[in-house]
Amino acid sequence: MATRSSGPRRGLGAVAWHLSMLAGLALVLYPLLWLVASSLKPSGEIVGDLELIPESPTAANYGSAMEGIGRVPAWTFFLNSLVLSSGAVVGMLLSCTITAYALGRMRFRGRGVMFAAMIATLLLPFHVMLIPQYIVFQRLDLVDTYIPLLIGKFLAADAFFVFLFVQFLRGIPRELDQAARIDGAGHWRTFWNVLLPLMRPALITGSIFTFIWTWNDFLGPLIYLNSPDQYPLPLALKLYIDQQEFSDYGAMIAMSVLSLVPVGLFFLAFQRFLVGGIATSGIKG
Amino acid sequence: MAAARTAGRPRRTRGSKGDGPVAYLFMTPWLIGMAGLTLGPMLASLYLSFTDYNLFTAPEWVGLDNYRQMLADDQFRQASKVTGVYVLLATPLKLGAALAVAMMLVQRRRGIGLYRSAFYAPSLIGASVGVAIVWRALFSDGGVQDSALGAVGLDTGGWIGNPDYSLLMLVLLAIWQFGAPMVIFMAGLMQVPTELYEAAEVDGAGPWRRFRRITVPMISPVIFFNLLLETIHAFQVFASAYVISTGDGRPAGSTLLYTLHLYRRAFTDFRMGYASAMAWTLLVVVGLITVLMFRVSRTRVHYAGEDDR
Amino acid sequence: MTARRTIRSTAAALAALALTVTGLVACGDDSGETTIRFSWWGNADRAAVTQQAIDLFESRNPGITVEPDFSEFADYWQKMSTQAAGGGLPDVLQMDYSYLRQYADRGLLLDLGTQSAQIATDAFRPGLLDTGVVDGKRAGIPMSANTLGMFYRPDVFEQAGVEPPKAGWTWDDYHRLIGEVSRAEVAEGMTGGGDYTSQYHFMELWLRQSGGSFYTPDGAFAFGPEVLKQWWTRTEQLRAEKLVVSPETATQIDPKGAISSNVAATEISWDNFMARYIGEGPDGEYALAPVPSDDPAVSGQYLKPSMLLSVFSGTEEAEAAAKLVNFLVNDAEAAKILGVGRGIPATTTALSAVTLSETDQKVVEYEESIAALISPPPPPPPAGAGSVEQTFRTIHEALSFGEITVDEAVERFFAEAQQALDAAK
Repeated sequence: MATRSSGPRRGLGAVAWHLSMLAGLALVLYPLLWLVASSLKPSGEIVGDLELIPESPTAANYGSAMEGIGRVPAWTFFLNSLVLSSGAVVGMLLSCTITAYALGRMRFRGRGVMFAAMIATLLLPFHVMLIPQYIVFQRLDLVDTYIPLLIGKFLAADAFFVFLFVQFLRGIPRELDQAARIDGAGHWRTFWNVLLPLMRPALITGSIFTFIWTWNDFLGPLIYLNSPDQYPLPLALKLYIDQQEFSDYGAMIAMSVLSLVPVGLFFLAFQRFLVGGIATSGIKG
Repeated sequence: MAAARTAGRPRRTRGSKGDGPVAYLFMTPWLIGMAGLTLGPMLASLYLSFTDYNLFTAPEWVGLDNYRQMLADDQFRQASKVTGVYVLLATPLKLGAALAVAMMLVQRRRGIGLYRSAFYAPSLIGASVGVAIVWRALFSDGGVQDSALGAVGLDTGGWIGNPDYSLLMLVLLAIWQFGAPMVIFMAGLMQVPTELYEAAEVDGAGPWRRFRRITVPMISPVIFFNLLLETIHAFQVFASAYVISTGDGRPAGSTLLYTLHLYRRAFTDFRMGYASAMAWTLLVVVGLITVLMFRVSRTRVHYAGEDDR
Repeated sequence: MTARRTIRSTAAALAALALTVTGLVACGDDSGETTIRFSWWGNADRAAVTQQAIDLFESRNPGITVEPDFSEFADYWQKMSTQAAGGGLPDVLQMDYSYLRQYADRGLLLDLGTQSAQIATDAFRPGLLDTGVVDGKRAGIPMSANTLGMFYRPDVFEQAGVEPPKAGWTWDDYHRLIGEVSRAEVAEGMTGGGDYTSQYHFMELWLRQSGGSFYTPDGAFAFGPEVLKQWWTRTEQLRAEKLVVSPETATQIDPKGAISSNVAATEISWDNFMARYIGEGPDGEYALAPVPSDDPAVSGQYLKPSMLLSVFSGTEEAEAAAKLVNFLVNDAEAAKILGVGRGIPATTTALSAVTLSETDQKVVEYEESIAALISPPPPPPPAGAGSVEQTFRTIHEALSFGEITVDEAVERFFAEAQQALDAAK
């Protein structure tokens, strides 16, 4: 079960494990398989088709997806998404960790209020904040730049990650940082040298989510970006759809499949670091 | 606020001074962001909830009118009902699936990276038009769901066109994209010292006992986090319903989730004041649930970094 | 310490980035260059041809730079309303008929009558130009037009052995024909047509056929509960006998049309949807017939602008913006580049310049065949019309699922739609 121990019935256990995982995967991956299969169908036959296997497979959709839109080549959208997602990860890591350290580990007047305020920001549906936020950035003349999309990450505006890090910090035994403090380390060094390395699983988790969620974010770029050569992928995807004239679902799905590749690789690369953080010494029972 | 008290229980070695100035220094970026990006717009929307605001002309103060109209709005009632059902179904099912798979995926096995990535893969897409097309195909008459249920003698037709079942389709979509809580559970499970399990095994504790006595308490901060955040998230779910029901809560309002209705009021009807009132009503409801959860968590959640109570 | 250095240099880099960006924005045009922003909704194909047209415009008008900006229809309107809330719009924006009054009423659109030196108005097809006039001001210039028509599948009619619709047919004929085709069961799920009472545009058509209208000139409903009840009762029998597309199926095929999903042999729709239907259901044949009317001399049809061009009232470059508008609607070469992706062109100059595909040719021929029946357009729909349209459809859906009765539906419509109109005032 939850143990990472190796029992004596290892061989049999491994087979059972792989079998049950594969069964689960078959279920989970079926819709994705459908998506990939759809990308190989002729564009006009995709919507409403109930067959998984394409009758006459074609790579034409990938061709039209890579043609780009207007004057903007397709790789520009990928590059823009990459810049936005990477920037967001850096910003989130810098700002949310120190905020979480303060809220989770320090003692100061007003901490309770601060914590409650942080949680409260999670509770309001963002649609009603869209207009006021837009007006702020418009007054600052920052529309059509990436600043409105990234500044929030550098200012820890995403309470989800602050709270996530706080929860992880609180799971780390205090003896560790107290020992550092007794050795004369200041807050910064305690945070940087002692706690941050211990938070690695949480940091990796946060980075993965930030990257992927920024990659998929649609509404922010829609509102704040005007120049097509700045558009990230989700905006480009929607441009194959048009309610009034013909919608190229084939190109859209092909583009969706392609856009999954970089995030998939990102996940595959980073999940490796999701290994035990403090499972090295039994400090506390 | 209870949330504040639970979280804000300072535990330092006796005699050490408060960290006031340093703490605020650490929080400076967040405080700036809070003031400029979050608190300001939040208060603005609170103000707008007492006004008539159509986006094009200056807001006009109407007092509690929006809140009063909400009570008389049939669709508001419908949206609240749909959302309540959705939250109660989607949250526990998604978390259950996430925890079960996470526990399987923290074991040392051959090809574990690929398994993890594969289980996470559905969560890579988010709620895009592509997903909507696939979902519509799976849940149409004669689609996979219809055939599978038909094979066991249940004839519901495709769920996409059936108001009695269409919401389940969105619930299944939420469960399918269980990657985020799964990874968080995994990160939590990674932090549990292996020695604890080894000691328990020596004592002869079976898998269930180990789960109850070690896993659950040790990852309780993470369980709490996931439960709270997924609940909040379920109340605010928007994108999946928007793309699958093409923004209308079709069929017959059966997938009209709260934020979908809010969005329509705000950007189709241009009644931003009313939408803001809806948003603040949701904030109060979800806020109460949050406070309640924090209260319960005080006795149920175990923080290794803090004194036992 | 490395960490501190990293943070400091990151902060410095960010500050520099911020300065550069604000700097760029601040010193945009001091070289005598004029830059105008042009936004439209549409797909990748439209983006490609529009960019070509913009290039041509820029080469003809040195000193003017056009910055394009495009998104999908629903997204486009979300973006425009956000920008309007912030007090700014693009210099030139593609406008939809249902939003024209909403934007014009707020004073957001420039009266293009003031730019008559730039915009030629002599080549517009009959009745079309004035559809862009709101309260005496020229708030939009039509770019293309469409009108309602009855799409049908000749192949299905042939298989069913039923005579297809033809000029001079009545609503009773339509109902009978739906029944005949549905009963012929030429293919699984194939019906004679959908429940056409779901859309307010078709009710408007029906009202106009007896001299009425949907909205009064000052933007109130021009009909009472009795009339709406009559409208929604028309297809009650067809629904009950399951001769029209079922609501379950209608939900399932969305976003495709019923006619292009092999579930209906007819569909009332905008005539320029021809290309869309062919794209969605490439196996079927599609033909256009006039809409049914109980009075053969009055069809209620009008040329509706399928899209217009408007200029933001706060623009600093009104002249350049007007030049672009003129170029896009009147220039023969521009028309050649743009084609009919935006609908059949609004001006005769553009119409004679474009190359028509076989499909487009069918639509143009249809419009010529009913030219004598085209009557003057109603005033642009009031602010809140988009919301009324959605309410109409939603309530009809509840009705067709049998969740409410016709009386309840009518009551709900007047309560909710009136609120939508009041809120938009």
